[in-house]
Amino acid sequence: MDTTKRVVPAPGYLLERIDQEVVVYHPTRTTSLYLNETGALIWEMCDGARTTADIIGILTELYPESRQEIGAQVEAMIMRLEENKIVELQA
Amino acid sequence: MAEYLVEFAETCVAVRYQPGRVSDFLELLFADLRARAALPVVEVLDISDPDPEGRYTIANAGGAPVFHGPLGIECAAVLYDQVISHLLWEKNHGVALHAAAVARQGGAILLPGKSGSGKSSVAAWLTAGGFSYLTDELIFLPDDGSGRAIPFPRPLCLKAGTAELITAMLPEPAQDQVLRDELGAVVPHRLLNPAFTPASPAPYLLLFPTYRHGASFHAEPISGARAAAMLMACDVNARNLPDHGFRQLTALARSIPAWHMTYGGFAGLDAVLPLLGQD
Repeated sequence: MDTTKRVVPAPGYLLERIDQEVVVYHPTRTTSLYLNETGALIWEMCDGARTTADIIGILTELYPESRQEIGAQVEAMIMRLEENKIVELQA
Repeated sequence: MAEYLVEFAETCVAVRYQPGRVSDFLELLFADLRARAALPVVEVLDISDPDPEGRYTIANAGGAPVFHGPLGIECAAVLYDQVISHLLWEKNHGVALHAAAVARQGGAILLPGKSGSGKSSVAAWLTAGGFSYLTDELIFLPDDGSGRAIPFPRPLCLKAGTAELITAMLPEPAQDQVLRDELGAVVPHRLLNPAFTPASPAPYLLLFPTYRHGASFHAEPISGARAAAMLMACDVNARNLPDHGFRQLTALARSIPAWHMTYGGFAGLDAVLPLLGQD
């Protein structure tokens, strides 16, 4: 995965927060996606300006004890968001 | 030709037929859905006279045949599919949810799930255990702010394996009232619990069943967001709604508790009762 690309929210999906979690629905694809608290946190950082590497950096500062896992978790989540057309990766 | 009017949530489908065996068949399938007042008919289905081999043809309003065969479980399944499809075709003032449901003390427990999830079996088991039967297939949640869940109160439609377990609970005289063949059974719900009053109670619990052969009973609470995503997968009339029912279903998931249960049979299913508020 190219972690230097910006993670840009894609248009056309519906989203609701319930407690600390998120549910996303894509009417065109008729798919829904559940994001737990960690997933919701990563999604919130996908603001169109940050890259995947930026997001990994922020979370590593916030949770240094989880440094080993954060990179893989963030990449996996962003790939999942991209597959579901919730975000786009742009150079 | 006689006409049998099937009503659900203020929409009506007519089934035309020649009185005879078909009358009893339709009464078995739709007795609790028979229209009592004149309503606009959205579709007409025709059931032919039987051919010499006792096979009937079901055709839609355009004359296209959708089924040809005996009045058995497959015929019932096709007729339900056709009727429900037409009843929901233009329904756009609420969400139709693929869910079984039972009621207790005036509130509904919804059991959302796709075909094969085991929701009919759980609904049958709970009904036999004293819960009030609502449906094993479909719930309509009108967007009128009432919070009601309008059930499609058909008989229980059970696949072959479960049908044997459920019909084994019935006393011998009741066996004659069950339609069955090698595909499964249609069991009038009053045979499991005679106390039935048509009702549209507000839901108080979501219980997502998953049947897995041989699995032990297991249940766990699930979050509102997860429940909302699972509800969207059971939304039957999404294409009729501007947001596909997303806001309405997330509001429902936010407002009541949700559980997911895995089970492999009726043994051990007693453990679900405390979740439903019953010891």
